[in-house]
Amino acid sequence: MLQRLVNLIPPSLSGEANQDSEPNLAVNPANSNQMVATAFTPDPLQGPNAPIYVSSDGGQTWALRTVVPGNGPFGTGDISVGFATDSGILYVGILSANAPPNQTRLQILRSTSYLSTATMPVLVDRLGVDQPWVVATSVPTQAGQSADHVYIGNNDFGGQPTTATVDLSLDGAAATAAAGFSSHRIETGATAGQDGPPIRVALHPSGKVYAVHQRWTRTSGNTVIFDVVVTRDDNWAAAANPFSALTEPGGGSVGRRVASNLTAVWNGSMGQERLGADSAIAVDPTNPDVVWVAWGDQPGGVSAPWTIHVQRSADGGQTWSGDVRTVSKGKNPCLAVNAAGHLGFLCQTLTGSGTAQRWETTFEVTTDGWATPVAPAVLHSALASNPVPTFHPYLGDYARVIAIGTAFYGVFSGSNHPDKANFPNGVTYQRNVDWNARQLLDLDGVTAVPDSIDPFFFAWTE
Amino acid sequence: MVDGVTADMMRQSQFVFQATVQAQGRSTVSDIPVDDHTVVFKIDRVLHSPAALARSAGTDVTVQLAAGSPVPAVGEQVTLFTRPVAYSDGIAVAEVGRAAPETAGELATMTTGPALGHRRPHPTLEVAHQLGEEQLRAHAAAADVIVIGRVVRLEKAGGLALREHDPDWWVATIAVDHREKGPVGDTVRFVFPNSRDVHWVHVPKPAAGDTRLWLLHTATGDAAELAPYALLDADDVQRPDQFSDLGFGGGGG
Repeated sequence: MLQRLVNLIPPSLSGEANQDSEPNLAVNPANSNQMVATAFTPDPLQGPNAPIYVSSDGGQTWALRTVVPGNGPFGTGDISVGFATDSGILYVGILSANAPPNQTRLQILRSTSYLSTATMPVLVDRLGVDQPWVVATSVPTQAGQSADHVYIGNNDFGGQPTTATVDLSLDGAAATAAAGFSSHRIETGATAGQDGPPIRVALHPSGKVYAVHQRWTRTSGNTVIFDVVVTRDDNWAAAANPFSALTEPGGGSVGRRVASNLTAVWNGSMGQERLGADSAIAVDPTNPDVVWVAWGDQPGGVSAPWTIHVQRSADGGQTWSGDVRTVSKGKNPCLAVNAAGHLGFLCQTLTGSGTAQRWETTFEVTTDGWATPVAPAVLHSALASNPVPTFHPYLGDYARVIAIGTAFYGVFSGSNHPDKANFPNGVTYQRNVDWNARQLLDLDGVTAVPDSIDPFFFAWTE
Repeated sequence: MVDGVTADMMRQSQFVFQATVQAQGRSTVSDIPVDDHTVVFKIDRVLHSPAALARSAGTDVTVQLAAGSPVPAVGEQVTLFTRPVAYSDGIAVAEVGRAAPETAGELATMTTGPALGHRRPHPTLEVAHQLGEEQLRAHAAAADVIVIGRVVRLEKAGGLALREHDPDWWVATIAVDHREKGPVGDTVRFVFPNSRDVHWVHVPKPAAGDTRLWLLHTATGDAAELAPYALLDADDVQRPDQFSDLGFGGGGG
């Protein structure tokens, strides 16, 4: 059940009206009161650093720390965060706002204290990379200590035509300049010049590391034909050629295709949001061979609605179930498996038609892969036409859900229009609001503030 | 400049206000370090701020005073130049500099609008406005081509790149009314990113018939294959009536 749903904008920023889209989340496994969230949020005072959101009380209240180097008109570029399991060290992957013209610039950052007000140091700095996605854990060492293992999926155009990449360090806390990070292509097949933007990673304590990427096999105009490919490593990706444990049947190429010849219209539009690539992966902590993937495509061709698919493998990714869940007009699927082996699934879905269209964000937990139907809980529902986008992405090219123990934690972005009917399971706003008048208010509690896109946090327990 | 207010101080400050000390060695923002130079002020008047904090008069702000600086007494009023630290129930800022309270009147503020996408007014110090104009003049001086002209053609250029942060290059052709700088004739062509992606949306998008002051730069990389010049900065497009304000008009034509 839903424990809490909180708008992340703190009271002191009641006057802000930014498009705080594309959220991400990290929860410290060693202390789940400690959280970091991110979005396309600029420093309200337009200083040199972009902010992160921090919470020290399990997401009940949130504050901002301006610690990410580089602050553009909308904060940093793409950003993703992850806590190591034991050390409490926060790892961050960004596309820096301080990039040369017409370049994207990956930077990997680290902070030993998530509440620190100091600018985070840069460990890795590389041009031509898109959509970093951070996953971290801690692994016992022979010396009785533990080492931070950090994996950052990214789409590295420096490697065209095989761009799906994972940067990884098996000792992310190391004092060396690059903290042991190295870059590994996980795409070994033939592409039409590149892979899709999302490269996602899932870790199991046994040492199995899964990654999913979208192999673009053909393009025509803005139509992309692609395969969903899962790769796997069985020992923390520590060998020289990692992610090669899974191969096509018959001793074929590295990686296993979950689905093939899928269609996506690049930069298509749905409810003011751009489309093109959705992806998620999660492994069951109770069984390293049980892995789930989700993706978006247009089944049947370019005129079909964008549809989210979820599939399951029970043999380490070698064979796949076929769709166990589909969501028509869905977006931003998120998957996480808790300590009971139950799968949490978040999705943002465009519902209704015409001017009544709404973005609806739902969360559901299945204990048996939807063999028993599950009624999704509506976390948020708001008109898809309000507010008008400032830029793309409108809600984000991704959201995120994490499982710690049996609890699920997640973030998504959506309209902050303050109507309680938009939050059927309740919500807490930190920023000033007149719920009766359905109006956001500035710091003075009087001046009206326009609706905008805000990040929302939720906690869910079984 | 007002006595005690330096250009460097202004460049580093995003939030300037007149405030009265409420408590020493305290903070209104949890989880930040507190020492004897951590002071809670009540904001009496906002002198310089982005829109999001323009209405913070009457609220408390936690200030990390500069190391070694004198700590004002409770009830004392100062004018503070600050940079951000944290935002929660309250705001925490770090002192960049300070001025005597009586200077607040001299630091005449002006009200401006355009925070990108949200045209809400916010106070801007006159000195900051002057610094902004100096920076704009420096930016203009670095341009390779400076013209006043009208957009007479817009065309998509380059191939279709299927990337989230692709610039979506377009080429604009300008009919030149006045040439201030650069080797251009009756027309000049430049490339610009037409993408609405977060990476590019802040760059102005020329529209058919726009007459503007254009500050163009020699195109580089793949953009250079499309046109000789590029528009890549939010300041590359100005109103024609900015021409003399930017120090132009001494030659060319």
